[in-house]
Amino acid sequence: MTAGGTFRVSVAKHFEAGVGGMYLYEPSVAGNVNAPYYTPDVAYEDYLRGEVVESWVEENPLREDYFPDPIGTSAASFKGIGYIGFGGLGPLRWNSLYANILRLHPETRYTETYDGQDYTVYTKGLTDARYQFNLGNEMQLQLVPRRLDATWGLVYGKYWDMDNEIAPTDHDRVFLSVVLRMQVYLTQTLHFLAEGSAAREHSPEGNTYRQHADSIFENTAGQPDTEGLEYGDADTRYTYQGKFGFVLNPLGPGMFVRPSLRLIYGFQYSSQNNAFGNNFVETVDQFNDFGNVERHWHHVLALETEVWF
Amino acid sequence: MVLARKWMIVGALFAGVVLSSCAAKHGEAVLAPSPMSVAVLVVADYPDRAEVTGVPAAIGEALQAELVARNLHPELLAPADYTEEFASLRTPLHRLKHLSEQNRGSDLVLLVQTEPRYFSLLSGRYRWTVEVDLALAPANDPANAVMRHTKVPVFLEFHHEKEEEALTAAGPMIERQLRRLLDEGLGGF
Repeated sequence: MTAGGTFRVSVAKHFEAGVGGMYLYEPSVAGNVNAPYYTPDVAYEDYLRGEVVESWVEENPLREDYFPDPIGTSAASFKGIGYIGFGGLGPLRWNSLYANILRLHPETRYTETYDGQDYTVYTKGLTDARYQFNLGNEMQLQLVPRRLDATWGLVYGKYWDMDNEIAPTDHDRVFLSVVLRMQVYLTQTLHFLAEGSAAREHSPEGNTYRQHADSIFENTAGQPDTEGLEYGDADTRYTYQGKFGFVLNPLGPGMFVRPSLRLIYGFQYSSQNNAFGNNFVETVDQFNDFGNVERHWHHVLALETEVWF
Repeated sequence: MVLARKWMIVGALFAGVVLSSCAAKHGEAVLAPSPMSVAVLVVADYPDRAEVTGVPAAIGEALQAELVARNLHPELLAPADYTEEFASLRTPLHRLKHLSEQNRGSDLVLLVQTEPRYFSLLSGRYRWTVEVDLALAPANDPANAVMRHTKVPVFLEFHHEKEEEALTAAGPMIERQLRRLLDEGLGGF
């Protein structure tokens, strides 16, 4: 069952505000395989490692056929949103400030294989406490009419998983990113674009980024995570990007006017090693024949086109 | 050596794109053979009502600048003086004829007729289409008009942006259509 609604008020093209929300409720339905269930007495660490069945068998030798049946339960999730917009004031074309808070709907199940046999582990109880808070702002400025525009954006997010207190995941993180783009209209169709951005991402549950090619030796206090739940040697990643180049806009000036043909040079510095798409060997195994390379800068020269339909 | 050659190719490509965008798309603009006065009316129609209004001032100013560059002396007419007649006269040809009758003192008459029309919300953007009709004729011979028709796609970002913003966004394309119209028409008048 889902219920939701939104409400927005506008005042004379200069101010807007809106709120909205949605609530999802999934009741327990005995006998329905698609209803929410949980497998009892599962340790979160076993779930993370995919060793729920193995641990159960260790505690209950030779009783594989009696792996616990799932127990029916209900599930609920929600999302609330808020928005404030204002503009048409001097060089400020429009500013949008929005925020949302949500609880993700729990996952249903996954399969583990133990001793050649498949077991289904039901995960409602392990995945029903994942929350997110997101805050964003976009400010569009017309600094010199028909000559120079700027757009400034910010996004902040805090995600937390109250079921997980032991390992870094994408459900436990805090991030903040800012970007500034400026576009100069040299002619109606030929523009010059320059943009810079900075981002900080933090993992409250421990290391999750590799800063170094030999990250295993650079880990916390020089000690590897013997539990095997962390990854990499840093809990925070910093990323800085910049790009500039020429833009051809057949339909005239405007930062969001499409189609666009762009010839852009871009660069990135990231505290993470090789933080871009690649096929490098990443293992730090002593038998890695290919070696690891440490690289934090990345450069791209792109000729690209963008069209909206 | 191979890398250097690759960078030379990239550089040549870069220069080619930039230079081709700066170069004129066609020959020199056609000028009026002698200074000529032109009565200019720029109006907006709406698909859901018979109302006829003016357009954002920036569009009229840009069109005026283009006309001056063509050895013309534009006089921007007030749309309010024509709204009553244009509510019943709907086609560009009929309106141009009426415009000619009202402005016999000018050498030329120019009608720019626009119609912003909301299409749909696409990928988070508000897609509008602005239909544009341009007609240029000697004031004493509206039947000898040159005309152009085009549709300009416009993507707006905000819910509060309506017809006025759609017209403003279509401004550069209206200017481009006027340039082509003048190239076609001025040589023959």
